[in-house]
Amino acid sequence: MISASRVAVLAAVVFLAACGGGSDTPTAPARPTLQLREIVITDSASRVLSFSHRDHWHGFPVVPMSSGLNVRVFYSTDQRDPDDHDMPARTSWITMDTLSAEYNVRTVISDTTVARFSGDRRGGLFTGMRANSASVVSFVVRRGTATLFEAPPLNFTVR
Amino acid sequence: MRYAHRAFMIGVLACGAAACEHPIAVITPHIEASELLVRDTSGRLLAQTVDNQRWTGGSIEVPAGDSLPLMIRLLDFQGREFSLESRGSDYSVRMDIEQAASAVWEPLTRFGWLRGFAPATTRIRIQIWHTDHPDFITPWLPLTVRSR
Repeated sequence: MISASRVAVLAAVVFLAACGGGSDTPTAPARPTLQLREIVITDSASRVLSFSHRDHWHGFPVVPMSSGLNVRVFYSTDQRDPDDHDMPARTSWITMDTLSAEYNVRTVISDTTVARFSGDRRGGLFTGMRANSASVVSFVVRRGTATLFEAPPLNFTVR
Repeated sequence: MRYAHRAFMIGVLACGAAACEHPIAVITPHIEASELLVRDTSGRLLAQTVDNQRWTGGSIEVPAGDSLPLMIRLLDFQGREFSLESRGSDYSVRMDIEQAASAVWEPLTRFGWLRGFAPATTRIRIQIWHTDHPDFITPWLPLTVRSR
């Protein structure tokens, strides 16, 4: 028969081992990693054109063939629930120019015969190449050469 | 009495092993659906899976540059129709579109927009997503994005 006191000691040992355990090897303090969750695209007048929500986007850019479309790219550190399709709160928006230079953005258009993009990590210009056509664009945020965040592909049209 | 102590000790060990590394989380059940229905927002049935192996009701059509509001509903194993909203907030409707540039799915709370972007004959596949995994994946359904 096992006494109650032995059981109590065993329980304490098990919990201490589980919670307080770990390697004794010292580890270097990790650099804080920015947790980007969503992207918001606005035009140059700050009107929201599209924002990502987990696996999909709400809204889509329309690129005028004549003038192109200037966009600004914001990032949100917040993510809404799967069934909450509101835009990320503006208080959670950040721009890349508030971050160190090691953060960069790759913007890739799937079909460059439809449109091209030129810009920097704050935004840029979509230039339509073929009227009445459509393609997708992806935004990949990197820290140095490591991918930090990739938004789902964003559909857009050229009119 | 001896067995009671042994059972208690096993419980203690299990709890200890689970502590900290695996915090207890509230888990919602899987969607437990037998079929998926695609309706327009008036309730008209556009397509429905059969044994979730094929579709009945034909294909979906949307003009390029236009949007089609769709409601995704499910049948349980007793054949009763239900909505995702009735099962909580952990579920979402995703749509794979083979030709990604031709159309896009934009889900909202009770329905979603299927937006036509470029003329194409393609296929869609609907997934009921449960937090981080799909609970239900339909077969492919033909989609036509028509020229305006």
